[in-house]
Amino acid sequence: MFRILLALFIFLPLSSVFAASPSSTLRFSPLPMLSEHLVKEQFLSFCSSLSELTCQNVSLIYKKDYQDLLKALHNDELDLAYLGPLPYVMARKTDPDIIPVVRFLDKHQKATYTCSLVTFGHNHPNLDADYPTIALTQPYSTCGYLVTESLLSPYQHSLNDCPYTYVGDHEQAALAVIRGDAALAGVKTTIARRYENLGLTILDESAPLPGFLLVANRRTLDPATIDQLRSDLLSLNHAFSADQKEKPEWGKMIRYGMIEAHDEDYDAIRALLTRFPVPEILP
Amino acid sequence: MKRYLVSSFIFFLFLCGAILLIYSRCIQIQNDHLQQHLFTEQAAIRSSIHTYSLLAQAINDEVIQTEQVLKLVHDITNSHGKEQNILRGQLYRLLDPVYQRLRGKQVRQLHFHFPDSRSMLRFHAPSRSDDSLVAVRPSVVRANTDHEIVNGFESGRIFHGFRHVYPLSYQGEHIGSVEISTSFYQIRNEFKHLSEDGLNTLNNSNKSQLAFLLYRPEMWNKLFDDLHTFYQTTPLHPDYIIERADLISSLCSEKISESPLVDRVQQKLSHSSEVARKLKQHRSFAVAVNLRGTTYTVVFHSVQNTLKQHAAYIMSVTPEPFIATIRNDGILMGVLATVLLTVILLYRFRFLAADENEKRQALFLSNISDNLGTALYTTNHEGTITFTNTAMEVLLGYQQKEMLGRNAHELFHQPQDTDDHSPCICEEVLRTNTTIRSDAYYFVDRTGALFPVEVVCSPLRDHKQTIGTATIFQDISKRREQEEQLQQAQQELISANASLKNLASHDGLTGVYNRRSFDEQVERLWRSAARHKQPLALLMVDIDHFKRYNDLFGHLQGDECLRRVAQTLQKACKRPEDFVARYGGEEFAILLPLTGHDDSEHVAQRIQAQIGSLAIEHPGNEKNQRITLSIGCCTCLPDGGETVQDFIFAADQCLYRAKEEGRNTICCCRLQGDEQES
Repeated sequence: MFRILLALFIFLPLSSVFAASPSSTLRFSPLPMLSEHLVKEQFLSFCSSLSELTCQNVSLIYKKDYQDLLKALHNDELDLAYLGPLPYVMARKTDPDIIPVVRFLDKHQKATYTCSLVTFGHNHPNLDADYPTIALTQPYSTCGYLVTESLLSPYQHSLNDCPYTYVGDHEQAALAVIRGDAALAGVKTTIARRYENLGLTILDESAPLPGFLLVANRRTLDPATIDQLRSDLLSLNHAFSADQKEKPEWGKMIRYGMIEAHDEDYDAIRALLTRFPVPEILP
Repeated sequence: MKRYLVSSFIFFLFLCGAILLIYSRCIQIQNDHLQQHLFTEQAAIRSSIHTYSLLAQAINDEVIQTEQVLKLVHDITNSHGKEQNILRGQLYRLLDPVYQRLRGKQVRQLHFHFPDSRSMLRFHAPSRSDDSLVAVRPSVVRANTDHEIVNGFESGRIFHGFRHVYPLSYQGEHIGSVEISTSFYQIRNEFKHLSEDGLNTLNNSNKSQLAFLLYRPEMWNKLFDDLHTFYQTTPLHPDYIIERADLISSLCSEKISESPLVDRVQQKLSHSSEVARKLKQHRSFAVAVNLRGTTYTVVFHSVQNTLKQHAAYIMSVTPEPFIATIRNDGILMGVLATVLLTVILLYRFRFLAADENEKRQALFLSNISDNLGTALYTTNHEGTITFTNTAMEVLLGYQQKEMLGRNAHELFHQPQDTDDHSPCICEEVLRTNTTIRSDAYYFVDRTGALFPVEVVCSPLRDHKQTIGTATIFQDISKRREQEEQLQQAQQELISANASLKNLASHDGLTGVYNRRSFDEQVERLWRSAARHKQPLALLMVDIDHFKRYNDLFGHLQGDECLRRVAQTLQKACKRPEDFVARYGGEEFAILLPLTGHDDSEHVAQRIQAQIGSLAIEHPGNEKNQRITLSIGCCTCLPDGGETVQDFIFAADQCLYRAKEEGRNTICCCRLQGDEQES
């Protein structure tokens, strides 16, 4: 009798706790642009906010590369993801249930960014008789093959003809040019400007491109939940620090605010992709 | 109970003292060892730093101090804008291969500065330049103002390390400075090599694991803001932070393995107020810590910056079996001391129990002795009193404390015959080693009064050795008095008995034996004579005409007459065995043992003669006018044929014949068989 009472004594409070807690877990994974530790640090607080907004537990899942992340989305192993423009377009192309939720603003409250074709000093591709060596970030990077190919076209160069290499990220691509390992590189304009102190020169800059976004998996989340999440996230803009206009505890890539994202925002990417298909990520 | 508590308290004090002593000794040995460890590691670290100082010097001499590099730096210094940027890029392009090789040689930073101490080119963060280092890098300022080489640790905007800053000049013009720095991690690696080679051989321990604790107040504000997230506060103290491994790996591709052991040790030491206190003091120190059953030496080496200010701690964690051994030895000694003291305490308890038992017994005996009613005292060999009971105090009038330690003989013994030279009873007992009982002693009480005592003095033995005497005595004054009274009563009783006996056997009037005594005596003498074949004579004496005498003189005079006759008869029978009795009235019987016929006749004649000499007037004796006696005498040698009645009858017949023959006459006969001879 005593054991039954003891079990009831323990079980009843616990059951009330479970009843009050979120009923399921949202699975969220960001694009692996940094080490696992830094990625988790950037997004941990964001996940907490998501959990508060949805009244559900949010699990932060780290995927080692872009393909793994897209595959997980496709296999319904993820409910939410933080994607770059090109990965989003690639994912959406094969899976229409991946829908955009919000786009993130940059430090200057812009929802777009540009890519640049860079060289060292006074070099000019047109002046180079040989095919220049070109440094690219990685296949799924918008500033990588896709935009670089589009920026090379005015100079009568194509990545189909020039030797190019993926060096991993924007910084390495810029340094490859400074070191002389490559004559040209396609990098994010903000990165290119950062290395101007070493003689890095921007030859050309792309049109504004939509930035990183949060996507939802419509197969695992009902539309009402997604709409509610979008609405809640956008309402957070007002809660951001008035003077800094940022949410300091969130990662640098996402702390400056959000706007509503639409699939058509990424039509420019789709157009580029149609014109300049990336060989490494062809379906 | 109080003594048990006191013993327990003393035990506790001793135990605490012993444990404190052991603990302090262990701590002292441990501290000495830690200090030695600290010195050894400091030497190793200095050696590591010096090694990289030499390497930096070599790099400066061989790589930097070249015409191409110096000219490029000169051009950068003297150019502006995009031109300067391109030249800077060229410098990067020129030296990056070298820098990449130096990275393999554990050099972390290669950093050029403008003469005004702005950053010219960081090879470890090439995109960051032109920022002023004046506020954060005193070593750079010194190199550019004093044009001297500066060596030492210094924090920075990105990295912190052991700096070697060399001023640069080209064709006599100061063109800035270059810094070749090594991070703590390179020092750590070098330190590890040294440890593996020699340090830990000395310490007989395993590899050390190190961590670099940066002093937050010294470096936090120097950091680029976006790098703050790469640091985390140590659990040890909020003033100390560490670089996260991903900072190192993300910014300079160094593979830094995090040490879970160091983290655990920091976690453990975070609860130590001693460590917190010493960290605040900014001095080098060492502590020992036990983690999951293993003891580690944790050394904190204070690192000073080029301004001689505390800037960081190098924390090393080394497994230390020696300290574990010291601690185990200390614990063992503590346990042994506890066991030993516990055994002593138990023995003490046993002793107390025995002592209490002894006291109880002593009290019991004391109660008995005090309630004995008999005085008791003991003396030692010298006769000094060692114990007295209450009864003795009562008897002698002294208090116990007055008697203890004093000589019994001198104090209250009184020799038997008041002879001062008589030996003391105690001395006698000690001399003879036997018990003496006597009631002939007298003791003297406090007032000087003498009283008789009954005393029993025995040797007091401890095992087989005599250690003194034990004496009990009691006042027998009353008993003695009672005895005297009793003795007197007995004497009186004896006297009364003798008188009664005399009355029973003697005639009250005359004082000679009476008829009952005669009857007994005649039987006895008769049997004796028969047994020994000896003659026996019987004289029957009658006072002649005594009735008339009474009539004439009255009975009082008659009685007087009888008394005088009896006395005369008694006198006449001179032998003790002769027996004179009043046979009845005025008739007497005389038994003469061993007396034959002639002798008995002779006695009869003597009696008559002595009576005659009395000349007692008797007018009624018409013939003689004086008292005369008629005597019948019979002698016999009993042989079994006759009886005592025959013998008496024969004597009586002789008396009758004497009276018949006119009185004042003696008639004798021999009784022999059936014959009677006259």
